[in-house]
Amino acid sequence: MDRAKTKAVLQSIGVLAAIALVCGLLLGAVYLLTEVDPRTEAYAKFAADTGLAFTVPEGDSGAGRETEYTVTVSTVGGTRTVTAEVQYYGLSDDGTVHAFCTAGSGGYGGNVQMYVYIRDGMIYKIVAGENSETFMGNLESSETFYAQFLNVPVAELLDGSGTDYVSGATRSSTAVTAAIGAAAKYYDLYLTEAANG
Amino acid sequence: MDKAKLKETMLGGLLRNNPTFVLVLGTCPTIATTTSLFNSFAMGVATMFVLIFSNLFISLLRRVIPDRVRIPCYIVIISTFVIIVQRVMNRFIPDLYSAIGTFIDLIVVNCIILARAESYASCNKPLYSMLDGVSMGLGFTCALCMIGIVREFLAAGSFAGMAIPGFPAMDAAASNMFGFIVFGCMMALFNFLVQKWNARAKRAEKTLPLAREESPAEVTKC
Repeated sequence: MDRAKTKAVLQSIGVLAAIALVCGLLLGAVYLLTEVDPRTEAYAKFAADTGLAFTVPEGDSGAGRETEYTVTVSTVGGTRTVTAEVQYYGLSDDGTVHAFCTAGSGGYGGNVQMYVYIRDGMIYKIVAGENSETFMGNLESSETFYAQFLNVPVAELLDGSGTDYVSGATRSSTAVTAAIGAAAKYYDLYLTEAANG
Repeated sequence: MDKAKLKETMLGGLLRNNPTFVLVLGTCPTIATTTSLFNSFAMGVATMFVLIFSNLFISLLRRVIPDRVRIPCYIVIISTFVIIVQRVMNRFIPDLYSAIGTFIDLIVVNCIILARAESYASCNKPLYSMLDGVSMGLGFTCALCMIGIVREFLAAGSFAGMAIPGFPAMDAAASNMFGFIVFGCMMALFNFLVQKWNARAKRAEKTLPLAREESPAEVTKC
């Protein structure tokens, strides 16, 4: 390779690297300015969804508790076992509502985040969080999908193999059912006794 | 400062080279985000922000960027501003971000921005390039808003979220297929009006004793 060509190649690399570096620094600054603590964000979402006050506890209130669960869900041709995680848990300041931010795997676009609210031992509200699913709308427009979880005792939701899925959004149904199942399992493991006094 | 070029640059994106109705660029976000006026406006403003700043930076660096790596350099610069828009929108307007967030990411490969970077900003001074960004961005925003108004009115029977009593909403009007129909009709109407306006301007010029030479449609002299 002659010298001029080498110089041109090195110059190209240098310019591209310099531009990438400056852009990276700029993005770092923007990231610092727009960063939000995800736990604070989850608690704000809890409050917005329920209309109740949720105070962010200091430190990790759920230390030592299991957060990853396997949930059996019904799918095309039988059942499937998928993992789901409880990302954040909060109790409303008046102590009536247990709020969960969970993520179920197995979705078409990866994990599906769900906000699950339990009152008096039953799920009373489910809100979809961040996800990359293309057919989440099918679940919302289905009259029966979310209804099968609402106002049902949590103990009956620990096993998702008896739940129905939405045709055309099977993988989204799987991830959502797993996410709801994880909240039910966490509640059953750690909160049932506390709720019963 | 060339006043004629400034005027040509400023009006170019709005009328003669309108990115949506004349150059037919950025059709994908045009159809996908124009289901309501608010979404259309937000998408237009986000694109305009990226256009202005990417044009400015590409123009500033036009003598530094080697020809063989110009496209990767443009992509790095454009994606930086897209990520800035994305993070700011996600932080301060999360509801809007959840509605049109997917298309904000896709601004990186929006052909309007790449086309202006390649054909205009890379061979013009920063001020003109910024003005081109403003002009193209305004042209894009206005076009999206016009389509958004019609689609929202027909699909939801409302204007900017305010319900218009007595108007029967047609759910099908929110579909992408209907979006294409509205887009086509508005494009035809826009081009008809612009041609009329051009013809009138030409007639007015002919009546002058010394008719000026017609300026080129695209200001991309390098």
